[in-house]
Amino acid sequence: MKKTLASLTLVGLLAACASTTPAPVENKAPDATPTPSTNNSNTSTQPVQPSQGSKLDPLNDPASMLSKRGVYFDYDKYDVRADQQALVEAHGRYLAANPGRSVRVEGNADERGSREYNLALGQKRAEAVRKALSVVGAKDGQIEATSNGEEKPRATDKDEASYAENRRADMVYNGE
Amino acid sequence: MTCANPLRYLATLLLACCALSSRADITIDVTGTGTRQFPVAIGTLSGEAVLKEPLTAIIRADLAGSGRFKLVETGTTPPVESPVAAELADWKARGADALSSGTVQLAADGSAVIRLRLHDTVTQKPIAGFEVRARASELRGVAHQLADQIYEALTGERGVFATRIAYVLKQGKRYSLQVADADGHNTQTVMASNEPIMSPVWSMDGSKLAYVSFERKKAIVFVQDLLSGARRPVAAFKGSNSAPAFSPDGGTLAVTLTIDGISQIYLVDASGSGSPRRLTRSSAIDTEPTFSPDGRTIAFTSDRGGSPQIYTVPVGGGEPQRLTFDSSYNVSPAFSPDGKSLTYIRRDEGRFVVASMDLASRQSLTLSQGSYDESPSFAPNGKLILYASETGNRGTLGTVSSDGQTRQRLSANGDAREPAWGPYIGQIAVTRLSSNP
Amino acid sequence: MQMRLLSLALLSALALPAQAGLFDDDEARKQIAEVRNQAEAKLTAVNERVDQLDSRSSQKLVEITGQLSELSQQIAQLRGQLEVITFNLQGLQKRQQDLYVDLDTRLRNIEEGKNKPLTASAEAQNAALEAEAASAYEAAYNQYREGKLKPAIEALGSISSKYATSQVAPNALFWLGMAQAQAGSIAAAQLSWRKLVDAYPEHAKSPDALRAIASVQLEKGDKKGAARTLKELTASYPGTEAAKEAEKQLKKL
Repeated sequence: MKKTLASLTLVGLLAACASTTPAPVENKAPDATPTPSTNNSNTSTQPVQPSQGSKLDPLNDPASMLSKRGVYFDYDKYDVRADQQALVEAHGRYLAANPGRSVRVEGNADERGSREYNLALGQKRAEAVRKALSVVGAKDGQIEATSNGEEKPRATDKDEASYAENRRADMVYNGE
Repeated sequence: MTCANPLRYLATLLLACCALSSRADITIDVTGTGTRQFPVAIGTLSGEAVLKEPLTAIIRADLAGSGRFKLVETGTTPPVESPVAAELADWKARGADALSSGTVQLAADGSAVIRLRLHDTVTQKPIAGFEVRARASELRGVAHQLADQIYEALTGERGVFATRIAYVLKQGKRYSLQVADADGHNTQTVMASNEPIMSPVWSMDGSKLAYVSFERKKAIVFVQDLLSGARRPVAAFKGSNSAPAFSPDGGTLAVTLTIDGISQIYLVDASGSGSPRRLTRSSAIDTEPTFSPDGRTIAFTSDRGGSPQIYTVPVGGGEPQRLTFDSSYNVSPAFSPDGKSLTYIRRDEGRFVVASMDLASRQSLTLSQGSYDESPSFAPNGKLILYASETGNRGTLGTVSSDGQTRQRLSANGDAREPAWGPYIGQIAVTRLSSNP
Repeated sequence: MQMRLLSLALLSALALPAQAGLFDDDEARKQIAEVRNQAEAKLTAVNERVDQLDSRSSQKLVEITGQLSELSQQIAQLRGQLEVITFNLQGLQKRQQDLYVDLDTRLRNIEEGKNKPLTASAEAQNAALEAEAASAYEAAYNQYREGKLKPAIEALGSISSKYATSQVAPNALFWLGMAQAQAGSIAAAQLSWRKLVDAYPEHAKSPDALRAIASVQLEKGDKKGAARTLKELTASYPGTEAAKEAEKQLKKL
């Protein structure tokens, strides 16, 4: 609500000045070379708005948190752990701001035990990420939670490090 | 024992369309044997040299592989079809309590007429005799059928050598769904993909397989007709679709869907039409449904109690009852054909083993000794259980007798997993011969 | 804050024409740019603040979602404990019921005068007799095993009558039958086995005795008689090893 009000003000302001100022409208999003006028101070949150002028999609920008797609889970846990919440939130806000994008959350599980039960465990992880994305504002239609179970392990060794790597949910955007 | 035969040409057709079929994909290795083995001499069938399949060798391998028989050395000379008392006494002296003998004759149309007789060397009396007519492509199946007849005549139980098994084979990055004879030979590729395949199950009439394929980047349940090869998705809803199980009448599939969030069990029409009906309602994982043989009950895995355990629920709906209490990890239930017991995977001190439970007394029994055993299913006679196990990072298939006495390993080229034992299927008619030739 | 911004903008817009005479155009443009910059800086600040608030509330939501999942896991664990406790309780109830029935039966037997408790001296007498019978039986059985059929038949026969209430009596009858059969007295053997079955129907050797009767009947060529005996065996002692063998034999007959 507040945000809408703020942007309305901006529109009003610009309209007021447009008649007298031929100066080009400045882009709010940070460029590769930010103009000194927009004194972009120490912001903690990542930019999640679609970049209109910039060449680099934040999803592929190594500097952006959005380039990270894997959400890791603790053993026998199925909630997004504290150190993974910022990442999930960033993606949720990106989806909220980009209704044209959609994502498939693929859950994984380590390889011990029944394949079908592990498929369901991977699904439980994907579902936790799906819920977190949607509370941040992504629409249900933008997200599908699926599972690879133990079928597509990234790490194949039989040790705790491999098991931990496979306790993961990946966000795969449409077109990727 | 002559039965009508709707699926008589199944094996033939599959053989004809599958270029990938190979004969020796799986070799059998009996790793443990029961205490009492019945000594029997299986004489070479006279005249079988003209056939392209070594019938006697197949029959011998079946009987030896079952672990119930000790084969007495017979040499290559075929015994006469109807031996006299002195000859039978001689076989008794060589250690055999029974002898099989017989002949193969080629008919004008190229088919073979096989006659096999079984004699008791102790009483020196005939036990049974069989005659069967088979075309070249049917010889292997007929050999298994004759092994079944010998097995039944000597043990009183129906044999399962002429049944089929399905399993998933991983070779490099390639996955394929295989159907083979119960001895692992005569394999046919039903479906192949670069994406994982999981959880094949048979329809009760043996004509269809349901399975999970990731070919569309996520788990979808397909049903495939084995005769025509036609396949269609029957559960492809949003999220994951998995763990199919046919109802005994073949009209319904129980599946695990995630359309309401977490994995729950639903019933869908086996034709793929209509909308799914939710069977379980929990805030935890419910999966791996399987129908009881009478079609009234579904057993499934659920972690509603904090750890995965096996529950049962009436197909019409109702409050699920927990069945397993013997470990903190009990999964993958499958009913015995008589519905009186259940086989499942139990974690025992970090090892995953095949167990079975008598449903009346709730007594359970550990059957296997592996460390990563998976997906057990009963043979249609209820006497054997087929399961996947792991040796040296490679999946192998094995069977164990339902009393845990006899174990057998079938090893495939590649990584074999997710086996499912098929039902009894229609067979080629075997005529019983009168005892006096 | 928005109000302030708005009024600022309005003010600057209204002020412009009035001061046109005092300042030249350049000066005017400079001031406008300045005002605009200030306005934008404030706007950015506002947006950031909104973002932060948004972010904080969504962080809270994600946290709450996690807590919900944690809670449902705890509920599941409690449910599991309840299931185990209920299961154990049912087991205990059943066992208690069984114990009660057992105790009740025993008490009733005493009340009705069955199984009268033995006096101490009777008990001692009984034990002495039992020991005597056992050693006599052992000696007789060894004679049978050594093939001394005649003395074995004599000894086993006397044990079966002299110590008829002892625990070894049924065994003695069984081996008496075996010795008689081997000595060729088939009829006597049959009588001994029949006596065993009639007198000690609950004894483990009784089904074996019936099988033995059937086999000597078969030997004599009495198929009908053998079948009758085997049927009696399967009906009276279902589930025993002897009954299973009998079933197989019946099939062959």
